[in-house]
Amino acid sequence: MKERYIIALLLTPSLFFLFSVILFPLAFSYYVSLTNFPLIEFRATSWVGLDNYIDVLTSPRFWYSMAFTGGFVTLAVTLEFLLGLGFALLFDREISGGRVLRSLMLMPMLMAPLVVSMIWKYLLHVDIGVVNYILRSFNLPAPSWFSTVPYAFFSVILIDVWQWTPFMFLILSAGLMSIPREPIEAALIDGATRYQVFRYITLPLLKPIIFIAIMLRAMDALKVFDILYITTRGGPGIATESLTYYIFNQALVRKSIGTSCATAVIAVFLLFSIFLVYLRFRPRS
Amino acid sequence: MEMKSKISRRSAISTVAKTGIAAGIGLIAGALGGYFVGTTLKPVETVTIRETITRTTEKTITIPTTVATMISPTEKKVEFEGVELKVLAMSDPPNIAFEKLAKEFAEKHGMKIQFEMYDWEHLKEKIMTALPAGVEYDIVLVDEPWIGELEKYLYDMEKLMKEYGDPALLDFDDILPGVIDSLRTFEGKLIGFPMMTDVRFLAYRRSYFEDPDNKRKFRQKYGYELKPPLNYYEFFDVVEFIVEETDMPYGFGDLWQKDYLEMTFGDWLYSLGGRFFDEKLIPQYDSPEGIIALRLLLKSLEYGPENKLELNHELLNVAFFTEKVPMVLQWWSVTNEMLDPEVNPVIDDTGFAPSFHNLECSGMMAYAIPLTSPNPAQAYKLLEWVYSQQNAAKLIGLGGTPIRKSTLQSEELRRQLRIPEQWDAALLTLQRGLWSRPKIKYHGIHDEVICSWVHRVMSGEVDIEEALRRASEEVKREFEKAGVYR
Repeated sequence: MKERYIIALLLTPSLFFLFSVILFPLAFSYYVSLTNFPLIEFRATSWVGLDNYIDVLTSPRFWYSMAFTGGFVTLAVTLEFLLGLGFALLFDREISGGRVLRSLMLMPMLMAPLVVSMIWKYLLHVDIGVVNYILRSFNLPAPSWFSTVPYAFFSVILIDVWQWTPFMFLILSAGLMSIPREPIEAALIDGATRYQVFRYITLPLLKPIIFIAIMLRAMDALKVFDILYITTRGGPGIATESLTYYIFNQALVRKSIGTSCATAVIAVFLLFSIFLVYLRFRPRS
Repeated sequence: MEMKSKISRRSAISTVAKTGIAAGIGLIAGALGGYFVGTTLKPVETVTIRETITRTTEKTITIPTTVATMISPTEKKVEFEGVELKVLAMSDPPNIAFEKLAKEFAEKHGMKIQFEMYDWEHLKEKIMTALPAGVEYDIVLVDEPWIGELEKYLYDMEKLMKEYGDPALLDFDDILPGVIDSLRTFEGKLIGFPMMTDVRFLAYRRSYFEDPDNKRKFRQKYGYELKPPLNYYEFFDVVEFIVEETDMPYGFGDLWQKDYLEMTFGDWLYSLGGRFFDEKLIPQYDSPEGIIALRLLLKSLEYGPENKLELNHELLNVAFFTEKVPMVLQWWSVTNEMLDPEVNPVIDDTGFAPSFHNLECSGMMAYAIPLTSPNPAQAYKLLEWVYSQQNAAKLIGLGGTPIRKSTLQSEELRRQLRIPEQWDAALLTLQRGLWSRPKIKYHGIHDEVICSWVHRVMSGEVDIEEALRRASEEVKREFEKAGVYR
């Protein structure tokens, strides 16, 4: 009996931490989502029940932001995965200067997304940007990257890919290093080609790592905000408005915290569902 | 072993899913229960709207003296020693001029002063969260469109003037009337101390308008003299001429980035006699004037550079400096860069003219004192001194814009300007009239909705009528939900 009290006592700090840092904000957000809560009042002015949820779910703009987020995550994460895997395979052998190159490869990932976005904002500037300068010198069209459709969409993907490919590279490199060499060597002795080794040995053994890498990146890319805030501000029109940008707009531009929280609760459920799907289809190690 | 692992994972997923579903049902049940049981927490105040349009037709500006007579000549003694003031401001030239003079005042009186400076967009986000949350600042910079949202957190400046003001130092009657009118709420409360007069006027390349060949061709084509445009007919003739008859690929640039469109669209709308709202605060974006205004805005966009949809203050200046566009509509407060030869490579070819809009947007900014300020008297005395008659010339020298009639009409100060027509352009724009953005409590909803729908039209995503109709419906619905019409 005494032991149970000691266990309870020892668990109290972590339970308190869990409640105050995770459960309370979630519960409070849910409460706010059921009220009209203007930012400028800083309090709930009326109880609106599920009205905010109905408003959000019937808003074409919300569904547009969902579609943009889905497209962004799919394209950006796919490109990051393919490039990251390519680089990981390239560096999975002895290359002179490999360590230096590997460290340089990781640099974009270490920079703040805000800084990366600022750099790219000026690199892709229509008049003073290096990219357009190069394009013009080859007599190629130099578009306005952030203010025209579909360039704006591809520009933000490019920035995300530039910053986060190193993350994929890092995880997949670690995965490649952990693969035992014996089956590969045995296959090579038996006459397997490099492609066959990759297709039938490396890739299956790397699968669990690939799933983790993709899942981590997808969860992060679903929350894309910094790049959009700095470069396109969700525009032109609402062409690059992600789910998080939509939430930000509701909260700090429209100053409607209730609607913003309702969208956030929906987003939490969405992420939770993706997590469940991941658990269901996770490959066995 | 394998079997055991399978069952274990499945049961784990099942438990998680069941918990999630149960939580979801519980939350929805809670919401419904609360909806039926719950009562209104507190009624929302009803807002009525009155339009603020300042128009001064005479050359010499006059204002009623009621404000000046309200100020009591008896001044309370204020202690400064050991006080520390906290200021939330913006990092542009007029604010930096204020910072320099404020530090001078603080040093003279043994006070400490601490500045937090942001660009406009971040200042807006900061102030909208800091004031409602009760963060203690002594002085905050408030832009005109934020007045309706923030006024309940700010002192009535006239009350402070009455209590602590020195009428001789203040010389309130000398302040430009448009400036004062723009800083009042609909109920007449003066929320701040005017820190700059901000209107927009046209910056243009002189050479295109003075070239004899251009002048001749223009006269032949349009039947009148080539000059900076003063109305819409002249504007569209001039931009068409520049694009078709000169080496310039683009004719004009304006603030077309999404965040600025309430003002940019509003210039066309108010000039045509339209309004954002009727007296009951019902949105009127899709009125006949609104539709024509957006059509004209779109027509002007045809003459803009490739990156027209992202033109903010900074990029608009870049477009002008890189000789992409020969005419831009720019705010007075940011034209300082145009007067700097190190920044503006075409400074010797730069001229200023009044806006071609019939009514131009008023963009006054004010230093206000929050109700949470621990030192309102000291904050007031500092503002009064910085913006006093005696410091007016000094403030201009440091990069400020005039707030006083005597400054704007001073021949001596004009002689010191790099491009003296700048002040003529401002004065003419002020005389033609200003429209003020609606000072309503839910300005943010209107601002965000109109900006995003207009930008969607500009990017070709949706047509004019549909966009304005849907914007009107959306704002009305949001206002209904917020209890504005209750």
